[in-house]
Amino acid sequence: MKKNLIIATLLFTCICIHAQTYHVASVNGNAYVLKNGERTTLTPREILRTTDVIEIGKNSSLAVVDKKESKLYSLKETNAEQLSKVIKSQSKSAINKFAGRFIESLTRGDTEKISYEATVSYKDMAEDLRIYTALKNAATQSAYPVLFTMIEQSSGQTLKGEAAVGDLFFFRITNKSATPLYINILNISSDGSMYDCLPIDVGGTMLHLLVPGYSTVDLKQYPMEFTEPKGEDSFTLIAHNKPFDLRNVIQYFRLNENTSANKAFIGTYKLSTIVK
Amino acid sequence: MPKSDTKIWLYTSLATVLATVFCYVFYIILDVNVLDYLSKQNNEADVVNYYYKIQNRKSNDGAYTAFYDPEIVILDLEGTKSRVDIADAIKRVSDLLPRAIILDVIFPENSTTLQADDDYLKKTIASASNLYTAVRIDGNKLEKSFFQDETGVQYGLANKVSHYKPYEIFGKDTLYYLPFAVIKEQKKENRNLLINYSDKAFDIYPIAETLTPEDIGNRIVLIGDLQDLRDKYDMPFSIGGERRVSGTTLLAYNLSTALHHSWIVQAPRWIGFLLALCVCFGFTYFCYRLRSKGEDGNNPWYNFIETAARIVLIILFLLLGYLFFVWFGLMVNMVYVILTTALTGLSMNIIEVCTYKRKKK
Repeated sequence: MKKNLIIATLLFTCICIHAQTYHVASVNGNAYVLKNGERTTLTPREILRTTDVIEIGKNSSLAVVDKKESKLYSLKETNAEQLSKVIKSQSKSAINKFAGRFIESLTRGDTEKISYEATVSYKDMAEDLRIYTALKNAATQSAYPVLFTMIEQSSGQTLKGEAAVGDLFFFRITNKSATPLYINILNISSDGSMYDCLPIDVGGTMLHLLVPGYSTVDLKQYPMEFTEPKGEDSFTLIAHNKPFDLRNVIQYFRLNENTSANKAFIGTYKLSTIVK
Repeated sequence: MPKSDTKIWLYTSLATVLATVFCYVFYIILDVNVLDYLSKQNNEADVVNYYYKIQNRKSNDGAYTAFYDPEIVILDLEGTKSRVDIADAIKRVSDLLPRAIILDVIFPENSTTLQADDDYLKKTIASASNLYTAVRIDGNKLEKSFFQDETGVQYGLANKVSHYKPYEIFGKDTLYYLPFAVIKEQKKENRNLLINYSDKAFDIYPIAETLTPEDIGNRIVLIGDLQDLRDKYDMPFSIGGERRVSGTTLLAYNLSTALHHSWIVQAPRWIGFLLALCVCFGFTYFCYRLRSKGEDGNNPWYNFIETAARIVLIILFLLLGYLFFVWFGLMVNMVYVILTTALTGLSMNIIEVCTYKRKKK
């Protein structure tokens, strides 16, 4: 009787394990399932079992969903291995994540921490006001030799004064001075509304917008799109040797702030585009 | 150094009070930032951000695990501007009998001149089953689609919120936020329940994808443009490996939290304080006992043990706070405990110096 019960329990467990399935959610690069000695390329919506042997190529990833457990597992490069084993070896527990993050902070692998330490004058609101004063003053001349162009994303060609709604582009910034400069671009659309084109990080360090001296940088990671309203879009590059927050500058413009602050020495460069 | 039990208790109490006062001055009054976040937020928000920073995946993480929400589907418009194409997508989704459709797009009156396209979209919206459209409070104005009043279709607010807030009073009207309009929840606002931004995975289909009843049936379909650069939000931590997140994705997180009641419960500030007071008292007592033994010559390692214990305790409470957050969705601000524990040595030394001078006199 006892023996039968054990066999029945084992059988039930086997069935349960065997029944567990995973749905392929996405495949980036090369991922295969090996069945009967054959290697078949995996595609989204396919169903895998825990016992299936999978292989994920170099620089590739495979995402599978366990609908019963409501969990998605994204798996990276692996040699031919059973799916359940791959999931087990590549999953991180909460304590593991914490330990990893903690060691990262201690060893200064945490770039944001470094950026805070490297930057002394973050969130200097007075600097934003001085930049606003400089921009408001029509007689302000550029203090640094900086320029930028707009590069069409699809063709890689420089945009020449005209674009259509929906066109995607990115900025190419050139700093011809020896000073590393923090940059951002102010966009004024035909209806007078103002936008900051490049994102400010939460710490306001702007290290991602720091252009080294004598260099040209393509900001491909920040794609832009021409949108409504149609008409003339004006772009002004602002370059400064200290971090600044363009959102504050825009706010000063919106409030039409009266200022007696000294104007900042900033590099500026203007371009206009007709959006059709 | 106190030798008698009574004196140790007295010194412990004094040092605990001093460490707590120091903690209050540094953390609350001087607003010394402990967890690296420099944005204008309260201390509790900084702690939550820190936990998400540990928990959520980074853009270069190859392997990760996320909660898969089977009840939500996102249909990505992928920059589609044609109102006819969008109307067709709504029609296809509606035919597959979803639980609800949320259209996270506002169609202004003047952005097209094609009357026929507008009419087709209006007709499709009016005939779609259980569809909710988005409206947005912009200052004193209510931004809505051109068809809103004419079709009388159900709607909800698409403004961004970070905590449990089912509705907004706008003039004389009560406007429900989209997730709450769909799940029909009408409770009061609760600032201690925060939206859960732990990494989630949703089925995302591009607009041109051929959809099956299994993809859509009885699920809530969010239709939005994940590529629209005007609808991107900078987050203080990564969500799905990105710091710039689309408004539709944030709406999906809000909806998922509301559907599964997986809110992050923010413990009141006094709990953090109380915990800090208890831990600080216990640790200070332990340190005084250790020091008194050390000065008697019974424990030459007392200084090392005290410092090591302090470091271990700080890491332990940081870990404990994180585990509470991950396992129970509970956010207790452990910074109070960490700071007071770190400051126990200083406060004990101050008390000792003060009493030493008094004895000399």
